[in-house]
Amino acid sequence: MDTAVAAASTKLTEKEAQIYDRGIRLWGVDAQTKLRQSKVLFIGINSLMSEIIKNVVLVGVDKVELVEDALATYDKLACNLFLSEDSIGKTVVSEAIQKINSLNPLVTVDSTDKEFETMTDDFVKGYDLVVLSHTNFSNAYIVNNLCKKNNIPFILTGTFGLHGFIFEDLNEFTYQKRDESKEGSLIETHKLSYKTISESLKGGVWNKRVDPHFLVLFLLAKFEEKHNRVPDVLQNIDTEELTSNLNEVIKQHTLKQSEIDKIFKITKDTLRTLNAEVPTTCSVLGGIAGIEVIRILSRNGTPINNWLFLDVEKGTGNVEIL
Amino acid sequence: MTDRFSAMKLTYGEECFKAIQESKVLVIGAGGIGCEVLKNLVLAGFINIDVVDLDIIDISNLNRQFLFRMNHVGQPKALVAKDAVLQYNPLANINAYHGDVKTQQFDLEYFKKFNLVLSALDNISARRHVNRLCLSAGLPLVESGTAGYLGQVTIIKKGETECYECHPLPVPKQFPVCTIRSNPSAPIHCIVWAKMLFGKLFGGQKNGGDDDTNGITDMDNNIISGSEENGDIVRDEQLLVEKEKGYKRWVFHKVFNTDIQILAKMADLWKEKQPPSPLSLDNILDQKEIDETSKEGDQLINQLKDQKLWSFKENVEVFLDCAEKLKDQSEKENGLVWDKDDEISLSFVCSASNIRSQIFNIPMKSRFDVKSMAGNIIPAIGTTNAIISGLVLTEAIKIIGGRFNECHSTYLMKEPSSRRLLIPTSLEEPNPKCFVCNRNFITCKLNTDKVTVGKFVNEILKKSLAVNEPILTVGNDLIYEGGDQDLDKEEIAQRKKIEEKIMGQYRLVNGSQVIIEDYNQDFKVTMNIVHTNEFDEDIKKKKEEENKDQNRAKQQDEKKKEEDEKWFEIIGSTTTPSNENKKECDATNTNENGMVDDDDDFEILETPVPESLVCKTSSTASTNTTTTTNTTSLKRKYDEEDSEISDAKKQKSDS
Amino acid sequence: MAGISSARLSEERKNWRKDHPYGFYARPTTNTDGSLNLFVWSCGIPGKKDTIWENGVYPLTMEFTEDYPSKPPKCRFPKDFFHPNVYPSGTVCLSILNEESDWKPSITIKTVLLGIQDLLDNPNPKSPAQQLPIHLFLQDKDEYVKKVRQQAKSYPLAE
Repeated sequence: MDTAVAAASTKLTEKEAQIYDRGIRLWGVDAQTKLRQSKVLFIGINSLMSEIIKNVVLVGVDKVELVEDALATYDKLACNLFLSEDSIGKTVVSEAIQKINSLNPLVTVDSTDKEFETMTDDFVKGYDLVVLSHTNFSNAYIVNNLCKKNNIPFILTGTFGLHGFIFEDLNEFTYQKRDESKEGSLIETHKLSYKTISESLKGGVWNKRVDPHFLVLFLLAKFEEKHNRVPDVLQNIDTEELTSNLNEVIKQHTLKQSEIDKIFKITKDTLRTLNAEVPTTCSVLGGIAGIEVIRILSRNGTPINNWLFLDVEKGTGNVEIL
Repeated sequence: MTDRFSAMKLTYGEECFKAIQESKVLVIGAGGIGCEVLKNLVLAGFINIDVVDLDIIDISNLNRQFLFRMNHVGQPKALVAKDAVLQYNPLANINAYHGDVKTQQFDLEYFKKFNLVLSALDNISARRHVNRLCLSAGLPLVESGTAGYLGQVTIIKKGETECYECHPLPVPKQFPVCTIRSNPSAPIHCIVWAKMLFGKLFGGQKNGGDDDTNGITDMDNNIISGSEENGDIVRDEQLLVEKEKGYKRWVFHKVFNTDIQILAKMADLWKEKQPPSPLSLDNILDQKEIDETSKEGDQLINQLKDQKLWSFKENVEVFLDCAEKLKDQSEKENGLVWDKDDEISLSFVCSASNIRSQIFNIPMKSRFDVKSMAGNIIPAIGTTNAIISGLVLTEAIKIIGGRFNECHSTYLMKEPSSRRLLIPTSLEEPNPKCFVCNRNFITCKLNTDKVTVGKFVNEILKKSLAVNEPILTVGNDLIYEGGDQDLDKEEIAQRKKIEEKIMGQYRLVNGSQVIIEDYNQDFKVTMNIVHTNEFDEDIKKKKEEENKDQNRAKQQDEKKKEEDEKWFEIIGSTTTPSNENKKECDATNTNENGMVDDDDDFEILETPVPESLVCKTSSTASTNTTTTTNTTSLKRKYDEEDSEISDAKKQKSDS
Repeated sequence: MAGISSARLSEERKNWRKDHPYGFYARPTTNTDGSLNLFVWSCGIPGKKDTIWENGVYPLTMEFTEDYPSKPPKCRFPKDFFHPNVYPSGTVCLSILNEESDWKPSITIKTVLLGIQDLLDNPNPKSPAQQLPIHLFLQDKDEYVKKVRQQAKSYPLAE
């Protein structure tokens, strides 16, 4: 292909240079160009996802594709940036498309329907990244496996009230980074290897040095595996089972009472607000996930490897390799 | 369920949510952090919100300030943000102001209307102002800042935490004059030079064009070396020739030839380096263009137009063109101020800097890079602001919900440090020597139209407050110096003259603030002077009574009565209120929400009033002297080390 | 607000009165109402004995800003003062007076004045600020000495 033509098509326009100026000054024009060529698939447009999409669209990607079949109801409103009272009765996805178009007209936005059970490779092919908002682990495994098979980076993320997490499976991932502690140092290429979430949850050995949030997710996954559904936190029987499973795990380790209390508190809080989306957590996690998307698409800077756990009131955002 | 707040209620509790809805919040700044904060506030159920911002929207804001659209460019941020964020809750009561928070419109009275202040500013000066107002009003303040990938949040509450000014704040870097004028070694030195040149040539009277300290060049001086005295002057005659050919050639020759010749003569500067060579304009313009920009071989396909380095000749051409245009503009508008977003101004600085760089063998820079350096641009993205504003909201809700003890600072890293991307740290206690939040205040009421400085010093300071040799400072001036032994005759005579002056005619007027120190002891207190006539009546009455009882043996009583006449009053303690005292104050004033309802105005900006209710004392009817608590610990320790201000422990980042 | 800077300057004044090097003077300038301006000081630096600068007390103005002590004061001799590291305007070019170089907030007025006194007889050819003095210093030592001694005469010791 003629270099000049290729150059012309990838070069940022004058207007784009003006709009994205402050971002370009941070990560450079090469990274910006990569962003501009990227396509991202977002599955499940809840409040958290609306924050992530906002952050990603603002930096100027090529295209975002949305998957969401829900109608806007009051409990869907929560802190979803794309929904307001006027949205009630409309589809979430149509509202999202409209808002995204307004947010950055330079980005193409589209929607697609898909049932998890019947997804094929074609569903994820052609995207540079797939982001899934957490609803249950069964869907997570499906999408993660599809992405793995097609060598597409995958992010899973979710919030539970004041808690949240990000999981990344970027396959065999090469990226560039400059050692900023040395003046005028060269850009170096690095490589990371990732596992699937299924591998992580099943093989992940929890010990007391690991963030307790992982334990909670592990228990939720185990519950799902057994019952083929997510726990209903309003049902005592479900919470009792989760609690007894938690106790089992704890017994296998020598923990101080304060450590046990801490774990129980996080578990209790998480379960109590399993389906609650609040703007504090969504804004923070949406921002962190947003940077991850940017890093992954531009192959610039170290991405999370492979979990991040957020406790927004404590102000902790801890990264673990599990 | 008919609203979007059920998750909020479930997560934070009904009581907390109710407090949220009833609270009044002030947001200062509607830019990067501000937009995100406003969005979070409304989505969290806050209803009563005021937002203030003095800026208008610029196209470069659109990559992160998500409430703004292309068609909003040029409009005030606060107003557009309000409209945009109302969509999330049309019932919210938002007042938006396109204004400067440092003005009278947003005075202490205004601040007192709120329960909480959220600062989303991007400059130190405004942050300091807001810090002081919040301290005065006793309001909790959530302070935050971002720069690139980094960010932080902290809480400021008078008496409980450090304030924004408890530790020295970073001061903007300046380069030594010699480096800029004679000896540049890096592109930034040339850029600073170019900006100063702009100011000198095009600033006009109003913008410092005549500033003596801007000795960047003197257009009319063509002496290269020598002096009148020695009769060995060497002049650059070519300068006058160029002047005849027009402004742009004249300027070029002066700064890139004549001035360089002068520098080159300073031989010792150039022992280890190549001396600079003066440029000949005609030679440059006649030269054939060599494309220097493909030196590196690497074709940067993605490069922005502005990132392409101009050739040396291009720089010269741009310089000449801009110089001429700017001269005309400057004359029309009576002087220009440099603006990084003005195309010609930026090109001038870029080209001037590059030409100078070339002369001194410094690498040239692209216009893109020059804009960053000259314009002090801080790169910014939305994700950092989103994270920080989520943390701001978290702390805000803790405060509103009465959980101040759970508040903490949080730092956002670029990449995880020891596996931590977010790092919480506990809030620090106030710095006991902080000039802003921990000053020791007392008030003195007396008749400033009658009392002399001498009487004030001898009776009140020396006798009443037991200050040995008082040293008084008002604002930037030392108004009285005690301590004879280390002053010369003249100084002592001058002091005597001052002692004879009436207080009110020598700075110690109603509403003034005087800092009282002791020459010999470790002692320091700030005294507010309040003028009053109230004691005159008492003295008058006593005199009348005396006249009635003329038959009494007065000789002995007279003296005593003189001493009994009260002519001043001191309110407050000269010791720092201890923590214990503080808790007492809080206990009596705390309302249900756990917020302190401070009646005392800790006010530096306006007429001050006693600091602490508990510590308030007043003299009794029969004695002159005031009672101060803890007279034994009257002298506050003032560490010698205070004169050494250590490097700032924390970097306060700006967004 | 001038809080930190005026407190520090008041402290400097106090310390100077208690103890200062012989032959030097340093005092805040007097305002019309008799008060002293802490931000502009009038100082005098004696030339060291047994140097060509001796027998002169050279007047120096020190100007402080509200950023003091984060930023150094601006020190100025009279216009056209003869010294290789003094600009025609009188501004002194010295590393401890430069923020980018050796200035530290812990440096006192005393240190500054002693440093400038030192500079008198030890000019730094690497940072020339004035054409004639540096030229003479390097090329015509005799003339240089002559000029310095002449200058000392125009700034005699008091009394």
